[in-house]
Amino acid sequence: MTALMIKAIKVPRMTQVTWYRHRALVLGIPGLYLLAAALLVIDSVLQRHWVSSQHLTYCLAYADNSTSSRCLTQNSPYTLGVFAGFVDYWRTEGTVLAAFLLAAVTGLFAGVPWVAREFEGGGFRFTWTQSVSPRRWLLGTFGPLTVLAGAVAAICGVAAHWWFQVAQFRLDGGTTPWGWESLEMTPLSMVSWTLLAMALALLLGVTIRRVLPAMIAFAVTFGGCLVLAQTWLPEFLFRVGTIPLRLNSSTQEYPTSSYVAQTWFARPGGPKLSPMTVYAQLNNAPQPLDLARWLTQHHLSEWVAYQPHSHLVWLALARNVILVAVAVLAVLASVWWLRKHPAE
Amino acid sequence: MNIIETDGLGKRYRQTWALRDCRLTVPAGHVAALVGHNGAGKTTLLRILAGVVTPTAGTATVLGCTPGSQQARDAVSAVDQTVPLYRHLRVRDQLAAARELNDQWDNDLAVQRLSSLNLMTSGKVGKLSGGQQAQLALTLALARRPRLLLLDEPLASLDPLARQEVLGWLMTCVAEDGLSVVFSSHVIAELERVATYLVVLSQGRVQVAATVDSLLDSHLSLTGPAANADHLAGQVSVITVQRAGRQAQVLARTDAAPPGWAARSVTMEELVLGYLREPSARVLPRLEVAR
Repeated sequence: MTALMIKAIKVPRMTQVTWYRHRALVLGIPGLYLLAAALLVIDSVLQRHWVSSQHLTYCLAYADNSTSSRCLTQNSPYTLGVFAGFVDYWRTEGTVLAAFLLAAVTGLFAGVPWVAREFEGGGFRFTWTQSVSPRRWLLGTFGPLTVLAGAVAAICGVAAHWWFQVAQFRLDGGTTPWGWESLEMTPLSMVSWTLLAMALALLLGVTIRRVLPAMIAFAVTFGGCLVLAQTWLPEFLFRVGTIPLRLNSSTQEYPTSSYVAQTWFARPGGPKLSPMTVYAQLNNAPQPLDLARWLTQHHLSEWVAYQPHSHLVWLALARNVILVAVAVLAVLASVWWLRKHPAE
Repeated sequence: MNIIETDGLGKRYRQTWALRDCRLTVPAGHVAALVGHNGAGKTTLLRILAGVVTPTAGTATVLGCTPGSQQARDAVSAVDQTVPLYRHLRVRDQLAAARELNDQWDNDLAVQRLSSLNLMTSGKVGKLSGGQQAQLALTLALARRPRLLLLDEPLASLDPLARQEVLGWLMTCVAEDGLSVVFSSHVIAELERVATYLVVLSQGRVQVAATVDSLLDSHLSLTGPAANADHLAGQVSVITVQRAGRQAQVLARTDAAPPGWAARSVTMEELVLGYLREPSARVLPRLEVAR
């Protein structure tokens, strides 16, 4: 029956070869992600049950995360609950970090070895002397494995997103939608990281062609990508398309759940002054100080550039598009490298 | 038609040329033996022709196509000296994978051959003996129904009976399917039985490339006084001189013995060893000896 179904949907031949050759990966990758998804679902069900048993479900309904968090922590008996206290910063943070590990582990133990071992063990000499070209072999094996990994990462991402809807309040003081944890705990983000991990593994496997050195290089490169994606990338992206707002007037406030990308002071028609410059002057002013009056006296107005909450979805999307674009570049670079350096 | 043509072909690994300025033509329909010292460039040449190694210099064609092109890949089968197979697969899965990897595949041939060798087991390829792996690799290569078969020391791991059987099978394929074969080996007795074309590589260059018959017809083993051996070079093309006391044995390219010298036909082994001993002697396609 299965054979008939496979025949009916015309599985590409390289996909069948991938199944013959990499059964452990084809079964292991979904196993890893689905196990993680199951654990997240179980944990989430326990958390939701605890919130419900404490009659605190109403806290989750606040639009502002920090209000929800305050509501939960102030109204719950701190030492009770399933996990001896609802607030558990490290447990939550650790779980979010473990989500990254899924992509890293997939790249490290599935992405790198299949291609590097082919060169190290000389299996390519068999494959390349059949009717398939090196490029078709490369993409024909990478494609099914990566599509599979991406699909199960999406499932795991849905579970992670559902888990984080409650788990975010376990972080002491909560988190904002702009926090890195919130950005990562989405299906799209899990898929992007997995695709990037597989693509980087492919590139390093094809260029280094030795399993262990390629694994070490992957760990360093992927770690670097994680650091950049948590530090430089959001800082860069969150400054794009900001809305400037003058704060001098007491009626002017930026919306809640928005992200303040930049703050500065300015005189009418004058250049921007950094907050550091103004605060230095403030320190020299006689105390106590009425800030608003002081600013008015010095013809200064305070400005912020902020991202409204409505931009978040687009910025998060842009971030994932960048990750996927890097993955695509890595795959193209792998194909190019293989063409230039087929084998030695 | 030539099954192989190379011109100025070279391959450099870092600072070392494994193959250099290789000019070679092998006509179709031959079983071509490729011999040479260790490190002479045989494996490199075969890998370039199989399309798994890119040359650093020069050009090569197999059956008129660039090695590694789709046409070449469909028409050329190769078995590397490392006997590359998917060793962690079971034999049946290896067979199934090979079938999926090829546009043209004679499954009956593969199954019958493997069954006759008792290799259609559920065991893993890596658990087979070296000889069994070589048999499996040869079977998979021939099941592709290639027009050209490149074999790099294919018989090295086989026992004498298996060698004889494989050579017989190869010759049957050559006779029935018009298959051309290029294979390298250090066992000259094997080559003598099946080779119709001889290519000797030395220090990365082609030293000899001609049909076996023309080489045997144009060379003689001369025996005579050692004192006269030095003067022989003026009369015939001397390849090698081996002195034993007052006697000298000379491998020469000539069809008649000079006066004072006894002549006899050479064997292929003598011919090959003679050229291997004297790397500067060459016999290139028009049978022109250059020293």
